[in-house]
Amino acid sequence: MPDIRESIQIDAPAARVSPLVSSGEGFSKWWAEDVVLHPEAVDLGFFNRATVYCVQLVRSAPSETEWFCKSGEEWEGTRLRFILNETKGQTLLRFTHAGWKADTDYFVSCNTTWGALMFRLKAVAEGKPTVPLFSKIGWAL
Amino acid sequence: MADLKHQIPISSTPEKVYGALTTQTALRAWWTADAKIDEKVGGNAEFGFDRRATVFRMKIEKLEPGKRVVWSCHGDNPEWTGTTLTWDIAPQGKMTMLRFTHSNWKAVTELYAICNSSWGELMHRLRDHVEDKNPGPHWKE
Repeated sequence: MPDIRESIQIDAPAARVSPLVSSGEGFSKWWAEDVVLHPEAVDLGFFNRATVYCVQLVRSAPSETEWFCKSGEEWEGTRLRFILNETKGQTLLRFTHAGWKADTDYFVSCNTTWGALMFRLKAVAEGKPTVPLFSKIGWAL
Repeated sequence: MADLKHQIPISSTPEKVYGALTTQTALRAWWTADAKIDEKVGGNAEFGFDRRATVFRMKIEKLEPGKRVVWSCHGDNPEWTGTTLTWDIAPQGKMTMLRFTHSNWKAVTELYAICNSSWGELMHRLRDHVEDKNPGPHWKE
């Protein structure tokens, strides 16, 4: 089962990064503008809701958060794992999107998108001006 | 051996995408402001980052207009030395699909995951450059 792996150095402590990866409100700052919050779950809408990912919070600790993906043809059954390692006020974020059934075109596209998302997340954590990569209707400008 | 794979659809022509990968002016507009390339097969290309704290040295191996660009890497980072960077360009409906493979990594390391994230971000900058959105280079010096 192939995994997507990302890694990024963030100039902010883990306590600033953790809320951004463990809540729907956090996701709305760097990932998708269209989020609907449920208890322990979040719906993220893309391209006027042509795609909706429903993710369920499985585990949330200061240094590790895991979400289980409940929808999406290729996302269903996959997991999003964010692991934070803080050293001297800086955080190394390691992200894994695990459990893909196959290394498809969509897997490769998502790998590319996750890369750009890591930099949006970094910007928010570092207090730099940015917007989520996906607006309600498409790609943010 | 491990390969990094990315892809992104671009609202433009294969010729314009090819131009973004083969001219010094374009590479300075989305990747790094410190890019120097001898724009021919067999020519050298240098990409400097963070005031030349890191310099990637490439040789241009293949130039197939509108279709394919291949570089081999010769330093300076030991993990990059011996890797190959292949850009494949193909029309897809009214769009152009750009596929990128950074192949022949010796191992899946932290730098491998960091570079995966950076390439994801860079693919988006390249797309925005080709689509005339003037993203500016990821590395400004």
